[in-house]
Amino acid sequence: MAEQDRGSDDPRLAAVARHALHDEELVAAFAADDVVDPVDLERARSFVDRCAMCRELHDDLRQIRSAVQASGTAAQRAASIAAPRDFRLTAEDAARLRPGSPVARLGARVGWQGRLRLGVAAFGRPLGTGLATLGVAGLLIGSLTLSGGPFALMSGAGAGASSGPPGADQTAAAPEQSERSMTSAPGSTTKDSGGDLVPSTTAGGPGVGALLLGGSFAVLVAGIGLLAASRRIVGPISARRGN
Amino acid sequence: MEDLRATTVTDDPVQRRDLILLNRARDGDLDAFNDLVVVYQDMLFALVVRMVPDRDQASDAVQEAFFSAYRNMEGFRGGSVRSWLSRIAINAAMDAQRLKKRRPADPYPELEDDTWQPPADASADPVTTSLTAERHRALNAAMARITDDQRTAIVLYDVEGYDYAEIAGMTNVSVGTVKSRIHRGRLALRGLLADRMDLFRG
Repeated sequence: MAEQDRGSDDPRLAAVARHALHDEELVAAFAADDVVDPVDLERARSFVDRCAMCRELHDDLRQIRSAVQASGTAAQRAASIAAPRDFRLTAEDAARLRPGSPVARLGARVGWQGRLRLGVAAFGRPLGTGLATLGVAGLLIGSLTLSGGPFALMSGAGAGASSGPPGADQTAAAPEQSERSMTSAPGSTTKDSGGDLVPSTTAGGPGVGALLLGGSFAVLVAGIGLLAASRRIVGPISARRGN
Repeated sequence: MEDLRATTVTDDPVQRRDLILLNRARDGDLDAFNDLVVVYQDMLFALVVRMVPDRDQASDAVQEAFFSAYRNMEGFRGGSVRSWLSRIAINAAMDAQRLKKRRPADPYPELEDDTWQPPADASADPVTTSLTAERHRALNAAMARITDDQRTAIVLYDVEGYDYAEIAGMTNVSVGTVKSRIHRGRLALRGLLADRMDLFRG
């Protein structure tokens, strides 16, 4: 008896097992007419044609889609569903939400690109001139530093002076280190301390000079760019005013 | 200075009225903005409550949407005021969904708005009418149980009629993801409605 029941279930179980291997999302896409790839389309068709469960799934998904579509748009539903509260804004809400000053309101009206243009038009020329001047000065000083002129010495001294705190650390650490070295390795102390200090001060010149040249060039380019942008924005406005 | 105001000339009296109200609101007339609120609050609530089935959260989202619209009135670039407000409300609904994800408490309750039923045929008999109502209830309950992303995509596509690209733009995902969410959402609905599919068949 039990064997008979199992025998009658077998085809159904086999169908379920076969269906488990089928791609239901592909069937769902097929039901929505969203399958474009010819190979996928062929696969989906064969699932629906040959598998009863895929066919049922396909038909059910279409029914569900129709039911959802028939459930009414927001505009249709709004005719009979009232909002649970009044969403009108109070004067306090309005004061809190809107930009207060005329400048802020203008800013909000023109958007971020407009704000950028306004900023460049207002401050581009002085800022650009300043940056370009700084860039030229930096280039001059950098080139003098690299060529070994008086600025080289200044930059060398500057490098030494600017490394004040580490230098202070070194001097503070020096007695302690020398005390240790006197007990362990007296010969190595003078060699280490002298060897560290001399190359660091002399190597700072070309390094700082190159850095200064690079930075100054970047500042000069930024300044010129800002001047050009300001000219492009302000030019047409001035021309319109002239007309 | 370039005038960025909406200058779209339209023959549609509703759109014309909306544009007039919005322009007056931008000039500081709060009553004009509140007229727009009164015109669209029911529709926006009906839209948002499909995406955020908790009525309180949906109300908050609609209120946020109107705040946001008021704050960003200057950003309106013409076209339909109704579509503009709908998009703001959809964004507010998605924000509410994100908030719900960050603070998971209870799942959404079943939709309570049984006040609206799909329009029945005038000649429909009582059995058909009650079947329609029952189908509507079952569908709403299942919709409340699928994921927020799937529900949003299904509501926007199947109900509100946005296309895949528009939904992708609104939800910041690819068109493929939108399609996948819709297909998986429908599969999930079918799973949830497995015992009640006889309501929908035939």
